[in-house]
Amino acid sequence: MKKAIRLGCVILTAVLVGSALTAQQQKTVKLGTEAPAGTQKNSGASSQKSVESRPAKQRKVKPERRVLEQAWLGIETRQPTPEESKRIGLETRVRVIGQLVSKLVADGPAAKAGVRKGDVLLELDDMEIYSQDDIADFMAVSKPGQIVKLLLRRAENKKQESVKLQLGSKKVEVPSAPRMRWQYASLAQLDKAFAAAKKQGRRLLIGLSGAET
Amino acid sequence: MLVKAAKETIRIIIRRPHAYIFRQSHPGATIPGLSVLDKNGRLLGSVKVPSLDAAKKVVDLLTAKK
Repeated sequence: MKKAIRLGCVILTAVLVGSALTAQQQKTVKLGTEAPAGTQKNSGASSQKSVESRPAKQRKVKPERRVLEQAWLGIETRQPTPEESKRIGLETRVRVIGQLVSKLVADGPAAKAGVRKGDVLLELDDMEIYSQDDIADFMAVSKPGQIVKLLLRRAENKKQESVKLQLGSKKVEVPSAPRMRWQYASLAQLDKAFAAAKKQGRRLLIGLSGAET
Repeated sequence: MLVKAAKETIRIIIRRPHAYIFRQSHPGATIPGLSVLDKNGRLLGSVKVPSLDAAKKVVDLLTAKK
């Protein structure tokens, strides 16, 4: 049991720092030919040589990656500014509820369903949206082709509207090292997760993230 | 081994501010962290996740090539 908790802890941290780690790895790849910190900076071929002459142990190795199909909405969002929140009349509960649609992929699932730039996404299948991570979590536990319900605050008339759409799919690259995948996301899916745990006679592992996103 | 053990559970991620709402009904649940509940919803234990720097070190240790 302790092992399982410890394991989950490590995995959660991996998930929590996943994006940061990826960014770091990308940086490593991009800066692969630069001199290590604290040494004199070289340029061009000499710097490349210094990297190659390093023992294999010290070389940064690009992690192996694999491609997965993931559910996709076809939108980019951002946090509404305080002025926008006020103008659109968004509710605040600890923080502003909703993500403003800043970009739409033409012919993407959201665009086809009538979502427009400037709309605010308030909920996904009854899950309140506070951040981009909330959307990413939802997509990670959803399947391409799944029908989901979006609650929107329309930009043009500030009215709330419910829209149903079928999630598309997109290919994402993830590290090929074994990693845990969440099956449910948000408090809105807790009952479903409990039901599954009860049915399967399993315990429930809950990752609680306090990260500001 | 770690991933295998986690697969024995039903796994859910809850972010803030919902994480704090969850903690109201499950005192002792640590944020950020992991909580384990039995199938009836009883909190069996909770582990606080260390800082992101510490977490990154752990991930580096786990994923570094030999």
